[in-house]
Amino acid sequence: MATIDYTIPGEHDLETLDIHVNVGPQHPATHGVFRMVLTVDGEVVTDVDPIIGYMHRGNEKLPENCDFRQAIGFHDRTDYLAQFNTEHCYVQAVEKLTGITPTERSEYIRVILAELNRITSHQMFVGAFSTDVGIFGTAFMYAFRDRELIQDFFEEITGERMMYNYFRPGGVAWDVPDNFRERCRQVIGQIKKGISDLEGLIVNNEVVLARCCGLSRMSTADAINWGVSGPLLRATGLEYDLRKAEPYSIYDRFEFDIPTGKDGDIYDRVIVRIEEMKQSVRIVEQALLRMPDGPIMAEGLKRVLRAPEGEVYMRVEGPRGEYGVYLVATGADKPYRHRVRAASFCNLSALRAMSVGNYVSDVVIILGSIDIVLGEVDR
Amino acid sequence: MTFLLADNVWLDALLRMAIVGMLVPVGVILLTWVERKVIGRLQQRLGPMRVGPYGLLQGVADTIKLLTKEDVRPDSADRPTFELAVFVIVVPVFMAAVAVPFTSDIFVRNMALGLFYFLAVSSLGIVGFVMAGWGSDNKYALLGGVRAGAQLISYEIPLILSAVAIAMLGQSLSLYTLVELQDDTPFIAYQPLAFVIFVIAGLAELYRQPFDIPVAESEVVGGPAVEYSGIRWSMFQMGEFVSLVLISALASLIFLGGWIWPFSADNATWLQVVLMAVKTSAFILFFMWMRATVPRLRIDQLMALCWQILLPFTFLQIIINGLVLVYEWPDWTLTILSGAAAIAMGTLIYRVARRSGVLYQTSGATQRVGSVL
Amino acid sequence: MTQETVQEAAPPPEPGPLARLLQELLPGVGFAITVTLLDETVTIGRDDFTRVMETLKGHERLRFDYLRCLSGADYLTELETVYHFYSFEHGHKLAVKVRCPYDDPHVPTVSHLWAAANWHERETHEMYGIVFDGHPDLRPLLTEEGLGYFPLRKSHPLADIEEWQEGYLSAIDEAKRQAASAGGEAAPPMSKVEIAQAKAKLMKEARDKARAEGLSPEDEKAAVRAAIDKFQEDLESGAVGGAAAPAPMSKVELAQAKAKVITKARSEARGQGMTTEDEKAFVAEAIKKFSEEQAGGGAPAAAAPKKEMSKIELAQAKAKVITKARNEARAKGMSTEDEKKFVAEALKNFSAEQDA
Repeated sequence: MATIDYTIPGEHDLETLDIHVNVGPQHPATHGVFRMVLTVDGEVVTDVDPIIGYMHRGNEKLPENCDFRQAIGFHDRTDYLAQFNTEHCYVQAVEKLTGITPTERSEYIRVILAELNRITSHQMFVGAFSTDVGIFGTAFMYAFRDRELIQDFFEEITGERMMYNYFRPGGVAWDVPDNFRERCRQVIGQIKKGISDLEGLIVNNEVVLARCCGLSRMSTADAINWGVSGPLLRATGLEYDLRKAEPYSIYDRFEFDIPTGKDGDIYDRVIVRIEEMKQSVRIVEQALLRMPDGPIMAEGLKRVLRAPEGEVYMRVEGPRGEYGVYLVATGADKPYRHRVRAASFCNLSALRAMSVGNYVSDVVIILGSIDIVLGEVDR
Repeated sequence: MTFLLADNVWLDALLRMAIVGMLVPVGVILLTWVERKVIGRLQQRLGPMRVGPYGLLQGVADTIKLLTKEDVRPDSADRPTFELAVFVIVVPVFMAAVAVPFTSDIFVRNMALGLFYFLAVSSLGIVGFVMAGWGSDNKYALLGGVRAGAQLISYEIPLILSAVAIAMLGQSLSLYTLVELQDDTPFIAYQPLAFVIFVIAGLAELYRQPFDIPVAESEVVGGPAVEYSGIRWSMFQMGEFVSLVLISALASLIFLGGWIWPFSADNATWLQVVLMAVKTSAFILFFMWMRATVPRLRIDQLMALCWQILLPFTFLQIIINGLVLVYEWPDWTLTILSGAAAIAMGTLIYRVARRSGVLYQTSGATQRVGSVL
Repeated sequence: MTQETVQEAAPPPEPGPLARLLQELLPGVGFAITVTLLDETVTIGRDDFTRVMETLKGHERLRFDYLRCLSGADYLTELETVYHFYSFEHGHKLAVKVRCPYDDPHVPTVSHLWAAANWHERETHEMYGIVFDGHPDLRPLLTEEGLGYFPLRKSHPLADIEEWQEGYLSAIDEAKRQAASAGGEAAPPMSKVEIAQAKAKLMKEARDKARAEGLSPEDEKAAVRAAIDKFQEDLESGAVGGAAAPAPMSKVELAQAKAKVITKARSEARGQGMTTEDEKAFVAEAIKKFSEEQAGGGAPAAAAPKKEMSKIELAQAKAKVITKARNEARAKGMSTEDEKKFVAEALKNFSAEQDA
């Protein structure tokens, strides 16, 4: 009878193998056509290789062949969850170049719409993030219930649900409906309730606390070094918001706070976003009170806008962070160079630094907490 | 005590099994509809509304779709393992169904070791998950299969031990006897700790939220089931829903007094059916409610919850039972001791979940593998 | 127009406080100050680049810790890289530009100073072909590897991208083929798609043959397998995939040939400076000629008898006349009134011609 070797293999006798798990481009956790190759050792991720570009449409090149007004539509298609914020950035860049001053009423309309858009974007984030953490769609549906209200409101104003194309250099395309104030107040009232619903589902949920607290903590210095901006940067404790740091448009007229976190972990990122929604509500309420009547478009604009030679790097605080447009004009009716600094592009570049050493399930929520919009990342 | 469906004992057994085999799929079809409706309502939706009145026939439509769908097998899959896995998952579930009495009359076999048989057979399904994970030749399935193996084996222990606590109390492993013992007080009154542990472990055995780690949609996109389609995939679903019913029925049998409590042992059959239906569906609805509310735990937190909290407390429950039974202390001491332990466990879990973030700061990112405490 | 003239006459801008600080801190470095709207902008030479960047990051009076944006730009003779900085400590912001010549597009990397530069530099590299020396990983980020051209350069056309790419790719193929024939080798190997197609055809043939012979399913499989094996062997030995006898054009080939004709006609028309309308007509003519050649084996078909114009055609012709007249009028710089008159006259002439 053959003898059986009963010795237990030591740690080094067993050969272990790192496997590469390909997440995306079709995967529920990637929020679009993003792909990352995870190298996993059991459940622990040892390397992350983000692969982007599946949605690259030449959004920087195309506007270089369109005139200044035609390019507005391309900005709707970069960050397609915060279209008004991106349009706001671009039209301000053009106004800076051409020296147009937008009218008072249009400034207020723009701020109100941009802040409402920030709320929709954060609602989308909270919904998608809660799905990443594993709530079976409930928070998602709650978030979308309120998002739908704002979307309907936007549709009443612009006639569109996604690609608004409403702001223009010098003002807005057409005036808002007569019942704008009442409708806006009504929407805001429901949004406030909706935000507290979302808070109830997410903020004090023990499982969310156990999953998110202390995960992927980021120091302020690291965040700055990686070019991270927006809620991710504020979650590290830095009180930096372009609306206060470099007030653009009419943001210096409103009172609002900059919510910050302490640790820069996932939980802080969520909390900062929920608090930001409340601040946006505050801004909209103030703006509604003070919104004047008057023209919605600056006078004396030519049919074809020509910008004198010069360049500008205009940046606004988008929901995901600093959204910037770098325009070079040479006196023609088209921008010579049109560069989009996308917030989630820079935030995403820090993904590897944030997620190596964590579990596979954590990488999913780390990616969710960055809140990427692939239209903006790939442009 | 029983009535025969046919004169011949074998024929009778066959008939009963056939009835189980027919009723279970129909029940599953109904249950999917219920789950979609319940979760839809919880999410401010209507759920299925198109097929039939209130979407009642949605399950039928889905079944027809699943039956007629192409059965795809990946080219690189390990064929025997891949094709056998679903049966290894479904068959034990049906076998377990044999042992569960639904009323004093309606059951397939009234076994003297019913509880033991149920727990033994239902734990066989783990093998199926590991087989499906391994045989699919898919990394998501592999991850899911490994997770399923780890999770299901771990939670078997508190599940079985909390049932053992009940068996100690009833001095029997026959489900029928255990139910008959609860004619004035259900066992939940004596064993709240065991009940809580049984429900938590049962939830984990069913891999539903917050323990749906093996099939996590946003991570491993369905886990072991990711490569299955059509009829094979629907067998995964069937296994899941039948287990849901069985665990719920078992919980109402051994903790809530089955078809007897709060009435007498000689209830009319219809009252027994109503009692069991109410109790079982209460558990089912609770599980569905959990599904729509809580997020998912991480695998190490799940393991820590099992090995560091649930398991010590199940042992505590068994020790309490042993002391009370040996020294013949009055029954209310059981209630008080077990209740106190249940509250202690709840507080512990709550505090751990609350403070886990704070603890991360001291332990550092590299040392926190497998520890919530 | 007025704005432009004003801009040309503007005096060179005064250095701002930051530029003065830089001049003070970095003696011997040349700074060119450019027009700015939000940020102070300085242009530096490539030789001083590393020194300037390290000072920007490290010096306590500058401390630019945040690289908010890095853009490339193409100025036809030179490529430019623009860095937008922000300092959280001092709250000041600065844009730094550095230029490199087209034929030597090298700039030192800053990804070791600001991690944020990593992806920006990768993107700028693939879009402009600027090589950032010292960058750890310059793989393309948004486009596929081995693209061969730099999409954001001005020399990369946008409107005629398909034509351009077609010409570009066919030129590459042609060059490869020539190189192969010069080396005395066989024709270039089949592309993957072609191989797959050939394989599929082969399999189908083998299966059909097996079925016709009435083989059992097992035997049929074996037969197909054998056919595939043979094909693979042939492929490896080079028996298949060589130049085949010229076959009649397939539909795809026909379409490609047609596309080529269109492209050629369009570029010719543009070379002659035709208007859009004329160009379209010219291209249509070329297509017609091409299809006639195809149909009649190259024999020029007899001129079709001139048919009477349908109503739609008439309207189209009319529209053409109007457009042409208006363009002419604008080119001559007529006033709106005169333009209208001119167009009306042209229309009148046109209808007179039609009646005749």
